[in-house]
Amino acid sequence: MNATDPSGSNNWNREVYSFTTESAPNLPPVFSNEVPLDGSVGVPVSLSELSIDISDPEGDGFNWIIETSPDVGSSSGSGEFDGSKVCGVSGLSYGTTYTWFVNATDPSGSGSYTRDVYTFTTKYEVSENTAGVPVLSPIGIIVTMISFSLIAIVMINRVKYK
Amino acid sequence: MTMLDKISEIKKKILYVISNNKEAVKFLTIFISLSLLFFLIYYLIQNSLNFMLVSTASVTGFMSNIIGLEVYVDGVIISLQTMNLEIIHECTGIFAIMISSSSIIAYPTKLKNKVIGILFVIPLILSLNIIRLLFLIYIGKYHMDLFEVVHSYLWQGTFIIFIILAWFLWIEMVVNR
Repeated sequence: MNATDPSGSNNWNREVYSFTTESAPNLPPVFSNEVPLDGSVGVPVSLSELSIDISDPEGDGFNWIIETSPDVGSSSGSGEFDGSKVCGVSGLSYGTTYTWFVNATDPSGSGSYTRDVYTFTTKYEVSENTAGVPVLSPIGIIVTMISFSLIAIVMINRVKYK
Repeated sequence: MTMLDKISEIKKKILYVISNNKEAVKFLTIFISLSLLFFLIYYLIQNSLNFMLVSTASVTGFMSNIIGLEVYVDGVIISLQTMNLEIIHECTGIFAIMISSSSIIAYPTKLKNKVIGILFVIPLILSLNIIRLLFLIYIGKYHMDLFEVVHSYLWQGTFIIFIILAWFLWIEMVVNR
């Protein structure tokens, strides 16, 4: 800022002020490329691991944890950097929907965290026990035909003798 | 009275009954002939009716999952985990449709009434069959020990009663209106 007194001493005074804008917000880690994909169905029960890419926009180290429900495994890490994080799983059941939770915190930044939930369903067990379920058995067909015949005879004669 | 006399007397009685029940005899003749004809045609062209198997399995699987009975459908196999239901031709309701259609066609009434009857009974049987399969899926998943009884007796009887009732309703509400 500059100020001059032209009717007086004609002297001037100059002061310098400054300000600094706030630093860019520290963003939480982001997730991508989950395997198996969210909502997958028909996943083999032999699946051995879940994986997901976690990255921090500022490149900071972060803590992460993957948990499953029903519990088939969990995994975690701390102070890790961008990359694929893996959770080993075992003992999956046929035809079951599993939910896996991923949580990542950036402690060196704002402390903010990202939490996401994914699901997948394992394929159904193809049982050895296979049965056909006919609507009518041969006996059922005969019973139906006899019933139709008897009712028809009664109905026709009822009309005839009315 | 000799044996020949007895046979002759029985023959006369049969002819008397037939001559006094011409309409009923006509119905029985057409009904049985048509049913046999439909069965014969079915056996000749059953491979071209395979779409009924897949569509029955698909619709049943779709409906099952909507009402929360989770199943996995692969072609004509509906997998319930505890067991698989294989949709064969007899499971589609085709025989019930053939018998019901034969009885409607054979019944002495106007052509228009017969058309109404067939248009009424086919969707009814197909819908009832899907309900039957959903019920069997529920039993197969949660009460496996009752499956055979429910499938072989309960639903068999229920289905017969339903189609006879439907046919009876058609006579009362359409034919005799």
